[in-house]
Amino acid sequence: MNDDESQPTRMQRIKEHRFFFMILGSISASVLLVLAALALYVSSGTAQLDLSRPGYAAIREQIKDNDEFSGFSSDGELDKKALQQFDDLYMQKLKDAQAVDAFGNDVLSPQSLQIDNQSATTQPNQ
Amino acid sequence: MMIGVLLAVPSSAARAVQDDVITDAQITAIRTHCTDIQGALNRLQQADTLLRHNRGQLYRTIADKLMSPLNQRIASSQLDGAELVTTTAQYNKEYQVFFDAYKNYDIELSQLLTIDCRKQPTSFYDKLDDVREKRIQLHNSSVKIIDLAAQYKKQFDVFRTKQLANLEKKS
Repeated sequence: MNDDESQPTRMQRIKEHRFFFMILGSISASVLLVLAALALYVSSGTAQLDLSRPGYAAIREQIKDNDEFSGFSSDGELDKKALQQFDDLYMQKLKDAQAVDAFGNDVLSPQSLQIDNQSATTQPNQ
Repeated sequence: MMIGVLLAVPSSAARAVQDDVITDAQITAIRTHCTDIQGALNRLQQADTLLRHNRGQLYRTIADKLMSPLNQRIASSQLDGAELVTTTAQYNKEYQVFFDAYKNYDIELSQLLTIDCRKQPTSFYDKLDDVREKRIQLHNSSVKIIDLAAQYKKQFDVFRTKQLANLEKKS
């Protein structure tokens, strides 16, 4: 009996505050969408590669754009001149790639960080 | 001799385990140099971000602006470039491995930077070992990409010799 009486009252309250509920619903939906987008941003690994983050301002300044390199055209005949042109372009980029041993230096070894057994025992305690 | 081998195997394994176990002196060293180590790791993360960007751009340039256009031109000229196409596919596959390896490495490195090396030197040391492992995987992938790029060059040289011979025959 009490439930029957309270049912129209609740409905009336919702109707009276429908504008408030609409705003609350919109905010909840947008928060959920933002959370889903952030989850995708992190899980897809974009967060690791995104240089537009505030902490990477110094790195952004050091980046050189590679747009001026037009590459090799996919159209045309494969004559002596075209083959030579490809060879020159390819050698240029291959040399660049081979010039640096990327991520090769063992900077994370205990020796490099001076926390290996030998360094640790010879260091005076500060 | 067999006994010697049998004795040598457990002792070398024990030595490897011993290397992984952190000593009291190392715990003290981590605590003492905590700020320096964290500073060095922060600088490393910044430098590696730039390196990955530059490397990624270079590796993509080789595939997108050189390998693929040549393969297309070979195909449109109705010539045999099967080996070059196969190497390009392997190269692109390895690039994805490199891309994923960097993500994993950066996630681990970021986690390492959240560990307080003064309060948790053992956890810090263990995590450092994991990060180092991820960096080795990243390096191996980078080396493999360059090897595939060099392999493509060798295959191109063979193709070029054949093509020049064909052109000479025609003329």
